[in-house]
Amino acid sequence: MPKLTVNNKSYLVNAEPDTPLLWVLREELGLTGTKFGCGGGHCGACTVHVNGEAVRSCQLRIDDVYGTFVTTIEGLSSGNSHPVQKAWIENQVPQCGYCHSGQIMQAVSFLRNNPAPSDEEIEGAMRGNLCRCMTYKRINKAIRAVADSDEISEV
Amino acid sequence: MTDSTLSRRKFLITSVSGVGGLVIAQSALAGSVTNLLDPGSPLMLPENFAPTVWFTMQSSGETTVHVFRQELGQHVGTAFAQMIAEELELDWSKVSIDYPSVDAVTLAQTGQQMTGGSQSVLESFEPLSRAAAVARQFLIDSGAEILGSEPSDCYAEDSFVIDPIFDQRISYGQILAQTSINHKVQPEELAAVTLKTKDQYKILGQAVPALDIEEKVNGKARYGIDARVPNMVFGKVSLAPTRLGSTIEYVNDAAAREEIDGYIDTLSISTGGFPGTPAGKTDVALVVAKDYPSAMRAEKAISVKWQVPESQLVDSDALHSGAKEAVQQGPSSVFVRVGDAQKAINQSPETISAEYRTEMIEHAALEPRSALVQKVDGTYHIYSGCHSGGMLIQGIAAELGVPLEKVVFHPHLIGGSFGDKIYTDQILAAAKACKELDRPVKVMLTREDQFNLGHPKTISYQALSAGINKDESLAYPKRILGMTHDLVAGTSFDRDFPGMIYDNVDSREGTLAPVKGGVGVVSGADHWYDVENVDIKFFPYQRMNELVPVGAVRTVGNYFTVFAVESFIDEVAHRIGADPLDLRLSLLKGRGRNAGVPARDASSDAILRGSSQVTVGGGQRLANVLKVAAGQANYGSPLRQRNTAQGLAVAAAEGRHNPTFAACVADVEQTGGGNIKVNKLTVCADVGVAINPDGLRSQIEGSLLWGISSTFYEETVLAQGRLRESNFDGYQWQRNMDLPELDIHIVENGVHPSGIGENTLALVAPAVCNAIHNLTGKRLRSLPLKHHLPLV
Repeated sequence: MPKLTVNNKSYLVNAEPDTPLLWVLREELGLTGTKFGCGGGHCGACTVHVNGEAVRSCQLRIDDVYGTFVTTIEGLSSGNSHPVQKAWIENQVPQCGYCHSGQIMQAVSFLRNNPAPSDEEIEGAMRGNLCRCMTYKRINKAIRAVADSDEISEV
Repeated sequence: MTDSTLSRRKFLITSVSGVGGLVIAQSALAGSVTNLLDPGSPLMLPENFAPTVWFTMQSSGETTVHVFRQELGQHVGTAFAQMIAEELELDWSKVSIDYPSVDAVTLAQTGQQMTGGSQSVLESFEPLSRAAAVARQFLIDSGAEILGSEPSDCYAEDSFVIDPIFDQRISYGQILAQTSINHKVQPEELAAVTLKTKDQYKILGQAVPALDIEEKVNGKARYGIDARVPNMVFGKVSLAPTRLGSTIEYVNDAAAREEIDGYIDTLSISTGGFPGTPAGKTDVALVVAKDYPSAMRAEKAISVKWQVPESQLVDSDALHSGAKEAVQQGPSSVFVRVGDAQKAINQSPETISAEYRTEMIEHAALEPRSALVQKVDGTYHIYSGCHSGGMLIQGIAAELGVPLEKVVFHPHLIGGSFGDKIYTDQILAAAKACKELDRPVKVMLTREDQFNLGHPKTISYQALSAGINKDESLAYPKRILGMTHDLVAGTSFDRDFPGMIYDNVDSREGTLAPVKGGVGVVSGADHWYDVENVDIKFFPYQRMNELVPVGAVRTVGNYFTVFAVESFIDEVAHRIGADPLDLRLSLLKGRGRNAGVPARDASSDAILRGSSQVTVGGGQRLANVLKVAAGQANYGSPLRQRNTAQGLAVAAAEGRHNPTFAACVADVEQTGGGNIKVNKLTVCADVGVAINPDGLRSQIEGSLLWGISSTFYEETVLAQGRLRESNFDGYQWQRNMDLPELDIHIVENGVHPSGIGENTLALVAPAVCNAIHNLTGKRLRSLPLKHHLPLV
């Protein structure tokens, strides 16, 4: 059986090659922090990191992910210690919370690539991540706060 | 172990030997406590202090507030915990929340506890506060007994009972480690207790961090879709070509059996949004497999032969023209009548009329609906998110033909609802499949299934008329002689709404007139303007309900009724030569029924409190928030940019009996090419008492952006009887871009908290459309606005 590396742990996976990574994470590995929203790459709820880059896990065939390093929200930090998670709590961003695993994974990847973003760049990076509670204002505020803080180097 | 009875308060104090490290299981049904490590153990356990169903205090002093409402993102549990902690004088760091299972016992104890209509805080504030206040006195009495103090000398603070005279104190934990307080709060005690007033609040009114945020940022939060039990199988629905009315002739699953490893079976199931009722019955083919990807593959491999009635093959255009005809032909109910509006209009020098139209709007919650149902020892356990666990277990028990005691609902967090998780088609399908297959079944809707099995907001058609007199010597209210409002819409619930008939504008009391099917549709049409003659009628649009099981979507009917009323009052203002702000303020004087309930007790002159006081002040409060919003927005300032304008709207959603008085000023700009950009929304809301200022601000932010989203973009269209949009590439809504500035102001009268989850949403569409009119002269009378833009 092929091996999948998620959050620095190796798993043996028994799935059809075209199974989306999302369903392997959720149903086989029990990592339900990554959410199903649309199945079409339109909403960003299923965003995880593959080799450090934010990707939509509903759009990736499991066959294409073997040999890579996958990080999910569960692997981002222990005890909500990641600067982006801390900013999310500080700004009381989530309402229902469902999209925020994906929002946070998107924001982390974005800030790693662009540690000093403009407000327009934040919107540009986050516009693919839908939030039906419409917490967008707080999402942007939290990202701004991380970018402007000393902790940006720890993202 | 010794018992002592305090005759003064007639409750039992039992001393217990301290024990620790035991595993305790509390049965939801029996309320009994069992030591699982040694069920026959004679050891005495320190009993939890649970004088009411609303909370349990452990012998450590840690308190769990039991939230019998559902968490949809409004942080209702934090608000409830603040209420309990305030009156119980708890150390906030010792408070947590849980969401109890709903079964026959809790249903009998707590009632339905339906989450909706922005009513959770409004309805629960008193019962929770009173229960906690009574329980606080139990703790003071017990603490005083142990300290050897007079209870009347003692007070409670930060989870301590304190005797200031002898300068001694004892913590709640120390009290409960030594005694068991076996007293249940009695109704007469609830009635007798005096609640704190706003100036005494320590935890209420504080922006404490929500208790459920941490688990929502690390992936640990458990939503319905995350539920799992061993050996469960997965169901994927295969849906009919029409939203309603099609039935299954047969299913051919030969290919799935041959090709799909893990395929189990396809079941033909009749389901519906309200189990146990005939409303909106829908046939689905449920494709069951050992894992969800296999179920998805199998669903593509099977073929279902559907019987599709010709009568269901209808498009949105026909639906809209039918709605307009319903005003001429359809049955109707009087919703509000003041004086005789038709007569007044007939005698008026001039008449102004306008028609308004809105489209269907989807909930589009990001978590699609799902349900896991498992049968253990003859009892069906439901793991899902659902607004009303009580209605759910009653409906499922009826559908499965089992006693109510055999169904238990285990609430999970709801990944966005906006009304969506009122509907339980998928739970009924999972329950029936669980019964038929005799194993745990989890049904998950894909996004496409979720849209096609949706319960969107109804379309609406509204015709408003006013008889006016432009004589400038008359005061503004005298220039509006009468207003009629005909509303055509599908019904959301098969329940009557209390309509009212009044003799005249100064009448405080009216005659009840039931509005058939009016719940969740009509309420926003009942504005607070002191118009001399008013006639509001509701025409239930039966055809709508035959085609789509339309339902409650955030702010329900206020979305279209407030749009019509607040657009029309602006149209009237312009026609009679009044500034829209001046006209509104002149009509918001709180005459007659618009005064709300009396503020003071007639004999004692004391200010009255409690949930029935939520309307106190009435139209005057609406005038007040309008003044604040207009002032904060620099309404009428000559410094305004040339290509911008402002528009106003007020509303007291969710309705006359549960209003949150709110006003909005929209600042809009015409950009190149005739597009409209909303630069800023200035909103003021009078919430009575702000339980958690940051939490309610967050709810208002979300509501306002929802308002922008539905005003500009959102619609779902009926195409040959099917809801056309099937995913987020087709169904457009507000993204994280081009967000207006949100300037939010809170007013409190200090009497009683009102809801805030959806109450400001409906202000946005009319405020924006009124601003667009002020800017361009164009009056836009249908939503969404994308069909009008760019303006040419």
